Amino acid sequence: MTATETPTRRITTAKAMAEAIGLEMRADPDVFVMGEDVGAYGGIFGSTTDLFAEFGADRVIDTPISETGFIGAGIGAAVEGLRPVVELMFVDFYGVCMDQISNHMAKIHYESGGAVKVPMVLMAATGAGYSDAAQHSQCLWGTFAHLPGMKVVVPSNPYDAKGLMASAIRDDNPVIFLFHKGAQGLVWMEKNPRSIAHVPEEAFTVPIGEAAIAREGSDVTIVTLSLSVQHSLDVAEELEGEGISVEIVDLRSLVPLDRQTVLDSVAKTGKLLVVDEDYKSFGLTGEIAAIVAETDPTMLKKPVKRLAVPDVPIPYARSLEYGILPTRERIAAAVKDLMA
Amino acid sequence: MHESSTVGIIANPASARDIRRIVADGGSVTTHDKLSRLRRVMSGLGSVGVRRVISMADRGGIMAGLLRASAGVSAKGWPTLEFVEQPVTHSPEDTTTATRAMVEAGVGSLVVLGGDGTNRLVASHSAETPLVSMSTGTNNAFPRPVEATVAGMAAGLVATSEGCRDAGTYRAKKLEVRAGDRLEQALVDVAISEDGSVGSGALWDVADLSELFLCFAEPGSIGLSAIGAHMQTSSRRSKTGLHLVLSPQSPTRVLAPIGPGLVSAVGVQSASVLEAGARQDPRSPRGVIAIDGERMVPFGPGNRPSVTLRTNGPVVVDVEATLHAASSEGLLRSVARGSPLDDNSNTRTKKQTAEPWEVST
Amino acid sequence: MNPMNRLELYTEMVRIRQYESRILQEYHGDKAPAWDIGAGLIPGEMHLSAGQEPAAVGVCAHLKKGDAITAPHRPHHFALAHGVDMNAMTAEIYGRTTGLCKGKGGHMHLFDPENHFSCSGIIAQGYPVACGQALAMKRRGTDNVAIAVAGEGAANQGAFHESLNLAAVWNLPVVFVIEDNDWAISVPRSDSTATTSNADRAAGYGIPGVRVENNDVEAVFEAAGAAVDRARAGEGPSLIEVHTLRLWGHFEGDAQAYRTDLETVDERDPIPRYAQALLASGDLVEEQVQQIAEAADAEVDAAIQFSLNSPIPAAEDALLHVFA
Repeated sequence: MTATETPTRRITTAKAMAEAIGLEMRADPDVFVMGEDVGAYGGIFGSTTDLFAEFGADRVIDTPISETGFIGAGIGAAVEGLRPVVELMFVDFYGVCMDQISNHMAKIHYESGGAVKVPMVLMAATGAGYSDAAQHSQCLWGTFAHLPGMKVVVPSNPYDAKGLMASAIRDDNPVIFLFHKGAQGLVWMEKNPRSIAHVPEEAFTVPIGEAAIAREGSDVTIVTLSLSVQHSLDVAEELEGEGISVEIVDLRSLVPLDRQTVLDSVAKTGKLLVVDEDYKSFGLTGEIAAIVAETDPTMLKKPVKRLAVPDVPIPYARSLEYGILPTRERIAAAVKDLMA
Repeated sequence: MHESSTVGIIANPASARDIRRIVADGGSVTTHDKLSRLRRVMSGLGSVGVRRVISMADRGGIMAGLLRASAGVSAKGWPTLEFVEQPVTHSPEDTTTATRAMVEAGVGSLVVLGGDGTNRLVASHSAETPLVSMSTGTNNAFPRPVEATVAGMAAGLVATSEGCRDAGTYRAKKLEVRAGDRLEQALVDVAISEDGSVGSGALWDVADLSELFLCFAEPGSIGLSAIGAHMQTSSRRSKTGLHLVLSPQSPTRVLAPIGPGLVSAVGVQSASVLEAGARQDPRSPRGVIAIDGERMVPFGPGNRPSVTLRTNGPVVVDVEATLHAASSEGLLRSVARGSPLDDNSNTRTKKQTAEPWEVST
Repeated sequence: MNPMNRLELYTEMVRIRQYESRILQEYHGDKAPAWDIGAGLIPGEMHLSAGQEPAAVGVCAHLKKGDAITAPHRPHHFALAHGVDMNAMTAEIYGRTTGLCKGKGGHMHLFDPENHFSCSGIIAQGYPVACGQALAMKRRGTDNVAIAVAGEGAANQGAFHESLNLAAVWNLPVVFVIEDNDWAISVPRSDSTATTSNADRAAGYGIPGVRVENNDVEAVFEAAGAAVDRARAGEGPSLIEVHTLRLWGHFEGDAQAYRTDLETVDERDPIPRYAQALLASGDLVEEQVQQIAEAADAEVDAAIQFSLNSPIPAAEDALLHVFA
């Protein structure tokens, strides 16, 4: 940290992402941005705020609503050695471009026997909580993590968003960067205060593949990611008053997955709650439980608890939507269950 | 009105797609545009009493579209649509087979959508059947610009009215080309290129041309015939043509629109009237013959070509003249009894007789 | 066109045909008596390009170092015409460690970054990638071009249309090549495509669209030359549809019972026809016909021998190369 900075430099997650992209663009002329409304608008969820003003339309390119076309173009530019940062506005739109993502972006390096690199970032907004319903509220990180060949990065706060974005852009692999709308710190959406936090002004990186201990504790481990980290921190603070010490593992990336940090924490607490805003079955919560089970199930003093969206599409009405999301109340209840 | 109220339609599904989209500013006439023109032709034909249309079949969607349209509500008053029974080979043969069949069926006129090339193929088998040629090609001298509805009306009038046929048609010229055992004919121009390759067919570079034989040379045209037009005009209705010897070194240069967006200065060594029936032997020992702007016949010492102007080309409909004839005969005018324009009566009664353009059945 | 060009076009077409003919022979050679697609030294699906040589040869004759191609599932002709090393490509088809992709790609997924050559087995999906390559070339200020190749069936895919629009709106140096071989596996174009030519579709995006009839290599050569020059000059994308011929099945083992045009296939073979034309024009003499065929055969033979002598990858190598 430089002398001119103070810990009071508080910015949103959205701004932190944009700052990272801007710093990388200044440092490397091969970095450019494209996507829908990333230009003058600055990204619907603020991920490219102010970049257009600085870099212009040549390097911050508004695309047609043509996800197969421009994600494919990102791949083509990346195989030619550029470092595109491409935004898919909502991750839910993966359906119109998944062939480029899964069959091309993710497979080219492997198919080519390592001969062709695809240094590309594909960022997308995820998450529910504001009544955008079934086609604009999913997380889907488990889907991308299931398919080999992509790194999958999921930050939970402004600092990590900036550092992980820098790492993602410098990575020689395709990186899916999934940011939660509710953690962006947007003025037009209910937000957790943790979405605005101190972030150093200069460039820095957070390594991809290292989970963070978001909070140390001794009674229960919550393994989670994205907005659920913020919720879990709120819950942990609350439960501290009740004498429950919660440790929170913020995975920060699903691919690569930091198994060791998970195992170390579970070894310490002996109780595991996995919280995920993605669908429950065949996903992250099952994967974490399996890792523990495969390694040493005897480290668990209680059966694993999983809290995730119960295999239904995200409903619209607030009462319905909050009926299925991993809310603070549900997280707290699950922790208390484990402590019972 | 003439009883022969059947008209033939030949629409080349492949026209306006050659290399001149890239090397020049050739426009596109899409399948759907061709179809919309045919729909207009059908309306025009139906409006003047044509009851039946026989068309060339294609598998490219033009005729499928027309067939669908003819069953639809917008097809009110259209002629019935039938197709020549023929195998679709996607080759020039489709056009010649269809033309022969239509002539045999006794169609009163033939509507041709295509360029000079399509018209050339039709003309080789159209005998005495008048052609209404609508350009859907790249740059055409033989078909004149014409609106499709009006062209349909003219085709119908020629088919149904002797007066229109007499006043609205004329016999075009053609150039006969022989090279070895090949016999070809041109409706506009024959060019000798000293670069011997056929390549992609269409001709857009005049640098290698050594000679031009022209059926006509009208200054308003586009294409090779325009070169001749600025040496010495020759009307498409006259009995003679024009022969040019070209040379890049010639001090005489002519500025002519050779293709879409391509205006070239061409060196002309000589220009002389081409008399009908007089056989011409091009001077180049080898090269390729371009017929109506299409490189087609490579030749060498073994098949030296000859070119002859003939006055027995196809019968062609002059759309403008046809509608003039219809106007002077009052074919498209009906005056209700009692109308101020009615010379015979000033009493206000409902009209009793059929409109003059309606064919009684 | 000069005589040298013509001879080169012919020689390259023969080289490719010889390659496909030998692969055909080797592919089927050890699948008898019970034909098993996964058996033999060359396992898996095999889509050979015989009959479509004019498209590849006519286009690639205009390409230079740094120009890119994305080819579809039927890629050999474009790979060879674009200068992909025959040994490495063949070894890949044989699944050997010396292959272009160390045995991970196979015949539908050939990658040669040196020559900016790649394939995709997913119909039309190479088109957007080519747009991105063209975007990179444009950003870097080179005069390189990207060639996007697919069949006529691909032109009904959204990726095709998105790519044409992108290339047009961004004025990218890309040439879209459609190989219209009349058949999308078993479905004729007339049953699948609402226009007679995909040149029409180019027009819808404001891109010059040309259709080359008759599978004529010189006509492709001319059209592609014009399109490539245009792209290099910064004048934007073009589309060339080549009416070509699938001489053999969609994939080896395809009995083609659906095919109504088989009777005339042999007479439409573009190579003997071109040989006749060149013999007639004097650009080719009889002795050369034999020499060219023999030279091609020797080259292919060496590539096959190279492949057969190359190591088979170790099973554990399957775990390598997921990430860089």
